[in-house]
Amino acid sequence: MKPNNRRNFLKTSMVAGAAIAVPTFVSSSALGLGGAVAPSDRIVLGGLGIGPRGTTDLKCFLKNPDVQFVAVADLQQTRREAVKTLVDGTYGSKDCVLYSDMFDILAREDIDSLLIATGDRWHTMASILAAKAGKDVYCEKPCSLTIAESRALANAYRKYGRVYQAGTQRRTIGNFEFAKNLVRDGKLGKLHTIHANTRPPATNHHWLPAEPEPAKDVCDWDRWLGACPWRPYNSAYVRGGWRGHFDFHGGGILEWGSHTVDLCQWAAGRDETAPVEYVPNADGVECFYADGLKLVMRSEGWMGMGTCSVRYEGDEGWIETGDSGNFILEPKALRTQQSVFHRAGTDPTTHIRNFLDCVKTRELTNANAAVVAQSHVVCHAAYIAWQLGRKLTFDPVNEEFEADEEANRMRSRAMREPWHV
Amino acid sequence: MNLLRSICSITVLMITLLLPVAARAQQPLPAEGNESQLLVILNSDAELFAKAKACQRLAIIGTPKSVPVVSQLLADPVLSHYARFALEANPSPEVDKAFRAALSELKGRQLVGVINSIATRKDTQSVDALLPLAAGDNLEIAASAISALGVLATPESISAVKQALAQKPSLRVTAADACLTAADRLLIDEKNEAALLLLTTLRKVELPKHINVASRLGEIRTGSQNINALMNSYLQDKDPALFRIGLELGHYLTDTKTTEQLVKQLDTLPPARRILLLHVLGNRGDTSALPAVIKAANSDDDGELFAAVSVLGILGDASVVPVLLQAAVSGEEDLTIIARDSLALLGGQDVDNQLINRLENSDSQERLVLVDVAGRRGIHQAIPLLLKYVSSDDPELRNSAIDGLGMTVGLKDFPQLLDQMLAMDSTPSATPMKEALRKACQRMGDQDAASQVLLDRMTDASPAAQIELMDLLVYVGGQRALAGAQAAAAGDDNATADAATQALGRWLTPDAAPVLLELAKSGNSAYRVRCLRGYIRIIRQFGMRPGQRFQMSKLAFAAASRDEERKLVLDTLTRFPLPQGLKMIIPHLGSSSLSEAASSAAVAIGEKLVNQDPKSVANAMTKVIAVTQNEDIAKRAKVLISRVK
Repeated sequence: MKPNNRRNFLKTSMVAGAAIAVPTFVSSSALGLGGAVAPSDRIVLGGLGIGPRGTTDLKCFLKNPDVQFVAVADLQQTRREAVKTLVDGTYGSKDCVLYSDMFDILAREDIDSLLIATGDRWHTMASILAAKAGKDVYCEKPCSLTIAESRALANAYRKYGRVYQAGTQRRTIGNFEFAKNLVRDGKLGKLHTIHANTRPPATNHHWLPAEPEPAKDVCDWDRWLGACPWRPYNSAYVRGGWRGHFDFHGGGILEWGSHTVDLCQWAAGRDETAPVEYVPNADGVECFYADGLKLVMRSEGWMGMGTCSVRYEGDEGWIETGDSGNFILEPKALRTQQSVFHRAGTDPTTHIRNFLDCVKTRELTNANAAVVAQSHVVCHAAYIAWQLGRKLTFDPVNEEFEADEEANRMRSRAMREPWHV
Repeated sequence: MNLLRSICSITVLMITLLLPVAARAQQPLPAEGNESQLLVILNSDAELFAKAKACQRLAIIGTPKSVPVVSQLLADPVLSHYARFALEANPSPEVDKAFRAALSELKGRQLVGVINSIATRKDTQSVDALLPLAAGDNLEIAASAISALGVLATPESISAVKQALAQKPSLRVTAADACLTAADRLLIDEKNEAALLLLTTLRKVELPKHINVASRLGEIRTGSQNINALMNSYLQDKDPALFRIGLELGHYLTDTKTTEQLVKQLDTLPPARRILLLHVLGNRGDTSALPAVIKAANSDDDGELFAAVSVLGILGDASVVPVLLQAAVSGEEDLTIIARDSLALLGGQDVDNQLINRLENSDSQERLVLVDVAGRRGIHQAIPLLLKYVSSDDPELRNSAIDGLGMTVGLKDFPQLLDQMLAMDSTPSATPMKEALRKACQRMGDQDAASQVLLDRMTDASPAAQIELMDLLVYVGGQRALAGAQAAAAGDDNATADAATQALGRWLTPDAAPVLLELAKSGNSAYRVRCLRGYIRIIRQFGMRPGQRFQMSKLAFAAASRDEERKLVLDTLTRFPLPQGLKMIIPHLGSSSLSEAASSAAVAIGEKLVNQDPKSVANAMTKVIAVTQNEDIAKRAKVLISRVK
């Protein structure tokens, strides 16, 4: 599992590999797209598996005049019809096309980009299939369920040169960016501990009681399961009750860590590496990078800054912030560097705009496949340590645990036929 | 005795694994037991669930010993995947042998699964067995085998992939993808020449555009081409997809020669492409492109003009201030916004001085722009001018000055401005000044020192001024501010307590909660209800864990002396539905004054919890139906009971 991302691209394709700048936010008007947009300049967008969170994303996409949403594919009849109602209502037309099979939407050459907001189990697979079909992708988090899937995702987007943005929108939200900048600018001194707000880690391995399978056009159960192990149908899974089941869900560390561990990696400038040691406890995992920097994943003891909080501690100061937009910090003089933030951490508006801009300029998005794959690897490694209940040592270059075969076996899960990535 | 013990332990394990439903506690790993115990299950007539979980556990602990038993399940339509789940992760060479053997025994989807597992395990010894499958007529199996051969990337497997590319039109895209995968593998192994040779093959085949794009990216990665020349040719290519690769290379290539070449391209490309190229130049951050960007800022094409003005903010220095100011006063709304953003962003020495000089001598539209920019840049020297404009009759200038002051006033200027505001009393000019100081308080560096400035003025202030001072204290926040507000609220002076409790009720952080609760229970009796409502507001509005919210709700309910606040707490419980919340509501269903509010809250929570805790919800709904007079509530409660049934 050798990491193979744009680092390798740079290494193999040119003499000097300087750091790639984080894309600047480019307003649509700055791209010559203010006001009415000619059809030829619009990004033609489709959707896969648009549920509650996907609908929030979709509404944001629809507010951009340079986006034309044309079709949705969903296994569930009710969901695809709800999307049509929303889209047609927005455009005042009856043009949104419905598909039950995602391959129909992937085959449409007129569609440039896809919004993917299926259940977690489909995120990697659908994103890779989309890349292979030549689409740029905005995909909800988490991006993967295993270390192997994380790497496959990054490799596919490097190989196909498509634009990918994970729905980890906090990378494009002011208070989190402010906190990151304090770290990067050395305002907190030498960084020694970073904290990521995660959820209680456990998943379960039970099955819900079998119920009769619905007709395929109402909900295709086999396709719903995708690459996951087969189990009997129960309507609770389809209604969102898949969460917490190991076969479909990566656990509480990944649930929020895909945001907060990602933010920590970003702030600490560790987008291309991972901690080398993972020490589990009842509530989460403590991790250590090769230079001794400590990453604490925990669900308790936060200061009320809202969900998905992060905290960065240096030898000269600290900051804690979260979804409320508020932050607490020391020394207080650092407050003068920024006014109050009002955008909630859950709001994807600016993140989606960043994606659309990058589709046009071909810049790397703020949450591109390479960086989110890396932060997901950290979450998966931590959850493996937590499941095994022992300290693990990890080699971030080869993505292998040292001297722990059981842990290494948990880096991937065999996919149900015929699926593979 | 040992045998008996072993049988007993397997029996216990079987019982555990035969219980698939939710009643079991969460466990970190799929199943318990050692390898021998799990193999007994697989060899038995155990339920599907037990065998499935045994396979998932064997994926972690299985040794060569488990391979023969698990391999027998590869042909089972349901368990085949579970068998691969166990085998694919098992590093034993016996697994590879088993998979190879299965290639000639299995059919259909089970065969596809084994081919995929072989690819995952990168078993190059399977190539010979995969070749005929890749050449076969079953498209699904052939596609799977071609993909696997691409992953394995041996000379023989690559040859077979190329053959499929040429001879299997229906699998051409699959074969092309396999070529890309194989080339990727070769590049990782630093076999760049072989990778280039393979990718060149794709040039000769008719393929979808995006595959061509991927192929060209692969060629570039081999390092065998002049990359700058490729970038230039792609930027000139009529095909938008190839143009996009040119843009990508523009981001990647970091030498100054690239900037020079991109600047030359600006002169030759159509406006729509120049816009995108300008953003690439901005993203590169190489200031040698500045003259070209300034030139583009004179373009007749709006899009190019907008892009250039935006990029000037990144690459520019003091020399571009006049250009940006001209754009900012152009009257074109979008351009004005971009130009202001760029002026706010502009780096380099002397930018601030130049802006202040212009502000002193400016009027009308330019003055508006400069006030806005001075504020956003936090230029301290601008404060006297901003103060002058705070009372302007022009609402736009006034608002800009307020915002600007808010961004520039620090602790040093704070006392003087505060006294000015207090002296204004209730005159019209006091309002914008208050607004400016609120903004300044929000970002005041030393919160404690700023709080002290405000608290020092409380003693001799009029009741109206006390309310203003406390209002600002809310925006400063922090420990000193909170302690000061608490002391003022707890005092005997009603006017002071009034101002302080109003402020605490609007506090911006949840650390005011314990203070408010304390005041609600034992503070100035005239303001206890206000304090309790402030406490409930914190429960309702601030982010915190559900358990913490619940505990606070209990405390609020206990502290309430009136039904109005009790009802508020019941409603608050519906915002974070928990089984404990439902339990807390039930005793109040029988209260004559709270019965309807409790019923409504119970139903709202029940609707959220019915799947999670059906029994408790059904019990609660039965009680709701017995007491409520509201038909709609009763109807919703009945629906919940029917859902449980």
